[in-house]
Amino acid sequence: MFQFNPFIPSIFCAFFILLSGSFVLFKNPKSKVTQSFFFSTVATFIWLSTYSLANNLNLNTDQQTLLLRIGYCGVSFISIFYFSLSASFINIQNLKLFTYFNFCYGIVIALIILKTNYIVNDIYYYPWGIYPKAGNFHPLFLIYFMFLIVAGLIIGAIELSNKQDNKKFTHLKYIVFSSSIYSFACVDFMPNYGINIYPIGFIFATLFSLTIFYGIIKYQLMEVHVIIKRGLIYSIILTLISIIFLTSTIIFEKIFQGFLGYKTLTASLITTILILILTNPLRTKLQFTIEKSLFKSSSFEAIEENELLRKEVANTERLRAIATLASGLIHEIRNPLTSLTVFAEQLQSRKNDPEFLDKCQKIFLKETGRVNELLTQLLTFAKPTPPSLQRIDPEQLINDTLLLLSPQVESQGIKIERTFPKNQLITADPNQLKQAFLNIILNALDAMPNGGIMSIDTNIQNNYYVISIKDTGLGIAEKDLNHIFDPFFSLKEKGTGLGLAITHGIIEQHKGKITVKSQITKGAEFNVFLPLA
Amino acid sequence: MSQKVLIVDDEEGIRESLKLILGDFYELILTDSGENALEVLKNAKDVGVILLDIKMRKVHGLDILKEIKARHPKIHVIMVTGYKSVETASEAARLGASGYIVKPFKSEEILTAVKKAINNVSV
Repeated sequence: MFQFNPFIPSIFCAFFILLSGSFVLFKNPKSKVTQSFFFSTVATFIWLSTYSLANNLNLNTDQQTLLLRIGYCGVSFISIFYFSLSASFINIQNLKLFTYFNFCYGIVIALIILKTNYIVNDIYYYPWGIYPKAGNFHPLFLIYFMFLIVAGLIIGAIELSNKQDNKKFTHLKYIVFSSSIYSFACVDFMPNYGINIYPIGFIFATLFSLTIFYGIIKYQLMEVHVIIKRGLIYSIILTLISIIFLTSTIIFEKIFQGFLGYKTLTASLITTILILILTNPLRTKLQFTIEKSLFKSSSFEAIEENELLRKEVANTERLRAIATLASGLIHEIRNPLTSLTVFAEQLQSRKNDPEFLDKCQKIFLKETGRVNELLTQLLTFAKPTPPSLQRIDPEQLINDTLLLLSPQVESQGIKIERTFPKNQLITADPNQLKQAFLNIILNALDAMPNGGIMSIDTNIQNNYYVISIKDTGLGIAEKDLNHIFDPFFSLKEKGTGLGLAITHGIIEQHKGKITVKSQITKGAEFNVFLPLA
Repeated sequence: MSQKVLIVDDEEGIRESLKLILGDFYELILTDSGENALEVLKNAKDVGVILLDIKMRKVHGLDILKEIKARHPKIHVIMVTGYKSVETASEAARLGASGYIVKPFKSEEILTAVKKAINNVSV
């Protein structure tokens, strides 16, 4: 028959602690920190579970002593793993050797505990249960135990005062805080010396795990990322409250019955209503606390979270761009490569065919030239040179660009309309900007093979010099608009798809922006915004 | 009746290469876009095999494949691509492509694929 003793709740706590350690290790198995945390929970589990078993199973004295000795081995390893947790979290290389020494020490101590009476000697029989009695050398063991705990706390605290990095600081704060709580479990050494104190160390051990868990959920402590859903948290709260409600009902009912000495439904009803009234504000309060502590973050945390999200989005975008670039590059290079391979293959059998040889030469020159041109453009795109800024007249620049393209403009019968504000200078790299406009205007011209109107308007909007280039050409389909600046995205027969990507890069380098509006068959409008200052 | 081979690729170099490989054995029709290919198919009734590029500038090769298969289910279409991906390969197979060739290809690969397709047509 079980008698209520502190070792009954401690077995539940032991399992909870082990579970938390296993969970953390499962989430981040390669980290030294999570490994140390896991082993410290294993040591705690050995301590709590063996004490509980020794107290609650029907065993003889020898068996009880053996179980308590095994449990004590767990105790000796708690301080060792705790110190290794602090050391690995702070990542101090010099402490590595010391940590190894501690593991060896732990093994030796475990052997002493199991085989001799120097540390554990006999059993104390307290009203609440049995407990190991300290041996002659126990004080030495205790001193080293306390030394490791204090040393772990001190190195944590020193590091805490030096840390500038906010995230690491918060993490360390949690480790130091939770360990400080755990250090209170040292009260459990008192009954070893005959002091009749109820061993409540398991409560501190559980609090340690709970704090670490809270840190993981809120601050990704030990780099363990857990996504918690509100629904799940509230379900847990509801379950907890229901358990509290039921237990309280039963206890209060017993008290009522004890006082009043009768068993009627009225007593149960009154208690139920009373508890219901009491638990409702408790539920609200708990919900509020959880909401505040888990889901609402400070402005600093919100900024940090936003920054993380922004980085994640940028990273995804970058990966997408690399994928597009890679597939485009493969396509652009494999095509000329195919022609070269096929023509080279056929060279031997057709070497006497002058027509083939002529074509072969043309293809070789054309395709190698194409790859070379592609690589030059790619280099411009991938490694843009910083703009060499000077004060320039954008009107002059656009006129120069148009002059370069005048043969094509004339041959296609395109009419050009321009409106410029007078004497406005901007700061830009004239060569880069010329290339950017050339690409936009070339696209506009290519979109109007059978003639049309190209209008170039410039104006000033909110400290930006805005150049608008409009054509009456084929237009761009809505689905293609989002990809128009992607590298290797081209709608033209002979485009590499790098022109507008380069233009986009140039405008961005000038701290400006470029937008495009278009509808299929209704022409396109490119707007380039360049800062005036 | 001899089976013609229709080559659809927006790259001149590739069209020339395929012409070089197949020209001595088959009657060829060369086009530079999917739309032109559909136009050709309206008039030419004896096309047995089509070599169709997937990544073309105007209309995607897979869209053209869908159109061709809807209008001319008996014609064998061999897809040619510079960038093989599981998605496009399985999509091409789902849409009824008879083959899938990755650039840069060898003459032998093209000849074998076309020969196989033509034989199937004859059967």
